[in-house]
Amino acid sequence: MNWWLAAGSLAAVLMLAGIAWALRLGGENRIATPADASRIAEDWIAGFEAHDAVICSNGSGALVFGTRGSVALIRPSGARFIVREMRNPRWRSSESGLEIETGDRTPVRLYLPQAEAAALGARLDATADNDVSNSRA
Amino acid sequence: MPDLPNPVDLAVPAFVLLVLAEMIVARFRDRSRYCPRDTLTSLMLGFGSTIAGVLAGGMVFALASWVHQFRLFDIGYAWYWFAIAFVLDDLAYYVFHRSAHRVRWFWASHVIHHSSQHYNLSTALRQTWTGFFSLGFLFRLPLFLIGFPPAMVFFVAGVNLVYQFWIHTEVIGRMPRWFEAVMNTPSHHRVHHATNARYLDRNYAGVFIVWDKLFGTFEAERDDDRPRYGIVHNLPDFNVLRAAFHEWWGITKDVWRAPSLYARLGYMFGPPGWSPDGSRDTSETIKARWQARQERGQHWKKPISSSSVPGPEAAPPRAA
Ligand SMILES: [Zn+2]
Ligand SMILES: [Zn+2]
Repeated sequence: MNWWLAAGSLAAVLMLAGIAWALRLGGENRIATPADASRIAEDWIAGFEAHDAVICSNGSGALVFGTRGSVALIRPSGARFIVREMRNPRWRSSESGLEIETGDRTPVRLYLPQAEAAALGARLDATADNDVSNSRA
Repeated sequence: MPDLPNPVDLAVPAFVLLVLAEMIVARFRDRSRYCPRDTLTSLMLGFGSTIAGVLAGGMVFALASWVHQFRLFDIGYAWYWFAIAFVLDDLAYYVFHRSAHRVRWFWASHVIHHSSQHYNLSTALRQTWTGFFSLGFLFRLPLFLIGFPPAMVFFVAGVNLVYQFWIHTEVIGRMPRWFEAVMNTPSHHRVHHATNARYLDRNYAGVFIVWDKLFGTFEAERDDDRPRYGIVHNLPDFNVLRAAFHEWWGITKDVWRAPSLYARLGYMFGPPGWSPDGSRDTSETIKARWQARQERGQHWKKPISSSSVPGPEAAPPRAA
């Protein structure tokens, strides 16, 4: 590796990323239906059994309740999804919806009517309280 | 000593052209195969890795030459020695790669290569920045001790890395049977990059898949279990520095808070996900949970839908 090769490689890196963008590859994922959300959660979390799911109004996030006391939070990341399994997550409801702490730096926001958001938050707490076994096996 | 070229340097133009070709295929077949931000992160990690490689290269070569003094045999530059070095280096790669998935210290470097949720030729270039720091070069030292000249070993190792480029693609389904039986292929390596429980910690091969078959780590790709790529806890964004260092940061935090020396060592050298109280997921617990779920069977065909919010009384029943 010499400096010409290094400079050439860096130029190629930027060019290829630019071409990927110009070809409009990737795109923004959306979660279309609760059934989709349940399937994504079951795919990504080994052993997870979805009971039901709530998707937010613009499809940019979903909450999936499992049958064993945990919940899965799904959000799109480019053309893929980020899925986090949580127990008893901290949440906050506001006019724009429900904000849930996932352990990542920024909480995930589900866009929902405020009343729905508050009810969903209460259900998160109830789910955690209900689950006394906390068994992950 | 012949002046051997660096195969990776020679291959760079081909890498660029093939990534470009695969992007054009993706444009017409499935745009989600590439994501511009992910591609940029992968390629920047590849670029940084070559820089890190140059910085550490001198030291690794000096160490290799030092070890070579104590060689058991004098091995020259005849072509067949290259062939034998290639095969043995690939075995050393298998051992290195298996350790890279089973020992968190090595995983902290190798996880970079797995941190994309995409599987395309740009993923191949997503390489570590911290390989020297994590001591990955130790796995090649036996070759110098046997007597293979350092220049020869680094040359065949470069060829090995170049081989592994083309297998990072979804464009190729299966190669001819005889080829799939002996060589590492896109199909075998898709399994390696998958997070499906069935596929975790499988197919560590570099060039020859026979090592996995020999040592019991082989898993064939199945059409009814399509690979989902990435890591168990996928990165929250496309930040290059996070991708390069996140597991080192994780080790640092864990070791800092560890309750005992035993826990400290476990966090560094245990398998990824090890914790003193077993509260975190390792690939074993994930596989076990998946297995249990398989055995509970398919009695889950109940309505999975509600976009309204049921009250707490509708909280899901707990399975036994
Ligand atoms: Zn690997
Ligand atoms: Zn790979």
